[in-house]
Order: sequence, then C-alpha cells, then structure tokens
Amino acid sequence: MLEALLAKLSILAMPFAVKALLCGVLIGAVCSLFGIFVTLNKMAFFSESVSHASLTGIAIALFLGFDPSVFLIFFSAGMAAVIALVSQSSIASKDSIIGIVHSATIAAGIILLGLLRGGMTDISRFLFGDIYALRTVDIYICAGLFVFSMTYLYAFWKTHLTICVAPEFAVIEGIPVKSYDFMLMIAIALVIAVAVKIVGAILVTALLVIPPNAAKNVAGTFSGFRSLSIIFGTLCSAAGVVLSVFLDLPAGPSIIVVNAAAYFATLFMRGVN
Amino acid sequence: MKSTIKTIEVKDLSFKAGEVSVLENISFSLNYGTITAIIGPNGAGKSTLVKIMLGLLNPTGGGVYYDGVTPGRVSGEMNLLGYVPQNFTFDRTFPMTVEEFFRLTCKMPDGGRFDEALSSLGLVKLKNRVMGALSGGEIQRLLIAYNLIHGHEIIFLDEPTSAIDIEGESMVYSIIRDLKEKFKKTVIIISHDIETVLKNVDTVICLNKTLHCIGCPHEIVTDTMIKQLFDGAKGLYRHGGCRHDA
Repeated sequence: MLEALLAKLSILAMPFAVKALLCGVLIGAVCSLFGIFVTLNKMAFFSESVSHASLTGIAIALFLGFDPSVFLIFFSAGMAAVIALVSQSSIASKDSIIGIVHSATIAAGIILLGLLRGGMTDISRFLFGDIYALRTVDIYICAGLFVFSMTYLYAFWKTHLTICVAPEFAVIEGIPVKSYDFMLMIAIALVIAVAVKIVGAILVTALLVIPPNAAKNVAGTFSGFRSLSIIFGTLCSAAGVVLSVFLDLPAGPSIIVVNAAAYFATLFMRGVN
Repeated sequence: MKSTIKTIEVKDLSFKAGEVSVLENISFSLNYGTITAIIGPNGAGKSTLVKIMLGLLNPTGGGVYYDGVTPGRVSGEMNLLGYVPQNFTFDRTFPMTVEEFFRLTCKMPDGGRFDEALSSLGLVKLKNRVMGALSGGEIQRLLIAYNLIHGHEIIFLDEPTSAIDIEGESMVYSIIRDLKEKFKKTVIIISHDIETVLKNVDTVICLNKTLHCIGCPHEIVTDTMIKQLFDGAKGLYRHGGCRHDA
C-alpha cells in the first residue's frame, strides 16, 4: 500500500507531471481572473462558442500542416473578433451571432475532420485535453499567456470593472466601451485557445466559469471574491492533476470534476449560512 | 480646478429616428445652479433630449451648448456632466461593498471629496454593506455620490424615485435640493411624478415632441396645461389643500 503510494508520489516528481502541475496552476490562475469578467458580463455562451470553434481551428491546422497549438491562438482571436464586430455593428443580436457561429464552426470542424485521414487521434487531445503531453513550446505558450494576462489585467482591470459594474457611468465618462469589450473578447479567446490544450475544447468554459462562481458563493467582499477565485482556480487545477495521477484518470476531466466539487461545496456552505 | 458652466442653451434642436420625428425645434436656456424637471407623456422625447444633452446622441438639427461648448467636449474632456440612470443594472447577487464600488469604479477618488460625498449622503455607515443589500433609495444616494466624487457640475437624474417608497422619495428630493444649495450643482430631472417634482424644482420643461412650455412650475403648470400635455390622460386636481395626480 505504502509502496504504491510512494510510486504514485514519484510520478508527480517526473518532468511530465511537473510540467502538467505548473501549466495547470498557471492556466487555472489566468482563467479564474478572466472568469470574473466572464461571470460579470454573462459571457459563458461566448466562451463556449469560441472553445467549440477551436475544433474547426484544429481541423484547419491539421489540414494545412500547421502546429494546432500555435494556429489555434490566431484562429480563436479571429473568431472572437468576428463575433465582436458583427454583434457590435447591430446587424444581428450578440446572442444570435454567437449561437450561429457556435453551430457553424462545430459543423465545419466535423466536415473538415471527415476529410482528414488519421486526424482523429490528434483531435481527441484537443477535445478532452492532454496536459501530460505538453511540449516545451506549450510550456512557453502557457508562460507567455500568464505574463500577457497579468500585464493586460494590471493595465485594464479598473476600466473593465467600471464597464461591467456601472456601464451607464462608463459611457458618460467617455470610456470607449465597445473598444474595451472588443479587447476583452480577444483576450478571453486567447486564454481559451491555450487552455484547450489543458482541459480540452469541451470543458474549457468550466475553467473560466466555475472558480469565480464558487468564490461568489462564499465571498462577502469583492477583494475576497477575487482572491478566492484565484485560490479555487489554482488549487483545483493542481488537485485535479494529482487526482488523475493517483487514480489513473484523464487529467482534464479530473480538473473540472474537482472544480465542480468545490462549487457544490461552496453552494452548500452558502445554503447553510 | 474645473470650470463652471454658466448657461445651458438648447437651440432649434431636432431629432429623427429614421423617418420618425422624436424632437422638433426645441429651444430653451437654463441657468447654472437650478433644479429643472422635464415632464411629458411616454414617447415625448424626454430621454432622447437628455441623451443629446449628455452627448450620447447627435441631434439631426440644432444643438446643445454649455457656455457655447458642445456636450461631447463638456462630457468627455471637461468631465462636467453626470448621470443617474433610472435602472441601475448592477448584478445584486455580486459580492461588492459600497466602499469597494467607489474604489473600483471612480477614476481618481479625491480623498476629501470622497469622504464629503459619503458623509453628506449618509453613506458612511453603509460603507461596508454589500451592494445587493441596499434599498432603492440607498442605491440612488450611492449613484448621486458617484457623481459628486467625480466633481460633475451638471447632474441628470432619470426618474430618480421610480423604484423607491415614499420615505425614500422624500429623502432623494432632500438630497437633490442639497445638490443645488450645498454643492452648487445644476440638476435636471426626468420624471412622471408631476406633483412631487413640481414641489421641488425651480424650472419645469413641458415636452411632447415639441416644447409646450418652460418656466416656474407654480406660474405655468395648470390642470388644463397638464391635460393638454398628456392628451387628457393626466391632470391636476385639488381637494383639502392637497394636489394629486388624477
């Protein structure tokens, strides 16, 4: 029993597990912070749409022979830009355009994958995530995203919050709300493009939505909410990786299950209080 | 130090939404440091007029001038125009205290001005309360405080008492009077509550696409005028010394 436990612990010290823990924690922190805006702006459907659209991005990358991880960054940013521009131009409602892009990109992805032979092995990694197969370039991408995210949020945190919390005032103050919304959508799309590698296209929205909502259940102040969101985001990612090593489970779904458990635990605590 | 606006001039103002005329040749001027109410039926163009005065909409004819300066400049560069919306869209389930709201949304909270605004509006004791636990009247006070902290000189209030009880209503109007008397602000209110508004304002603007009348409420507002303005749907009548909406 003890030997088995030690063997599992030794796995955690292996380079692939260390990389997984490091990237899981970095992406967990980034997602939990951007998730605050996803929650405040009710952007879960947008996140879902961009993450599912990555299926098409991956298919195009495989079709053209590009690196899917790198191509996905540009593809997701492009998708977010299309959604933002069409919805802001008032040609169609935001909800409708997101729904249409969501369905169309999944359909296009399935058609493209049907045209590809042998592509399904690669695509499953992106559908469900493969944190243990991270290459050096993926580590750099995760680290780059972390640095970008922290810089971006440091620069625009207050402005984005004003727009979320008091949009009427933001307009009067002369804040270019549409431009900031556009920037936020692109930034979230970049986060999704990288996080897809960790938990997969199907589950990535959960990484953005669950930590802030778990924090919301128990926080009494905004500063507490922000801190708890980061704590849930990072700890649940790390715990998910450890759980997957100990129980031989897929890492991406394990991270989400731990997040969901944290959410329901906090919901219960809120109900009790 | 911000400059002070002396006069607000609305000149031959018109606005069309597509082919539909919303405002037609509106002209009036207002003095600084007064409380003005814009009254009129639904669809009279009250909100459109205020949006144009705030620089959020461009008129299709004429213009608004604050000492000769356009609203876009007065609002953006000079930051002199403030607004208190009818419906504050804040998610009330969100954990944010009153103090955090100000700290996170105010551009440059001047320490002295911040404390003065909060104490004047009785918000000091609410500083640590969660926003979702505030009443309608307390939310209105918070929104007014936001404008004071930003040093806005002209504050527009859209239906300031629509979501609050009678007690809260009298408190809001007491604060509005303070805005004029204590803080030397110019206040412009949109309201349907004619009786309460007329008791508390210096000038009334009666609007129904065109300007029906403007002046001191006790001189120009009559039952006949109100009935004409609201196409017979509203009127004033008196009994036992009280005036009520019909």
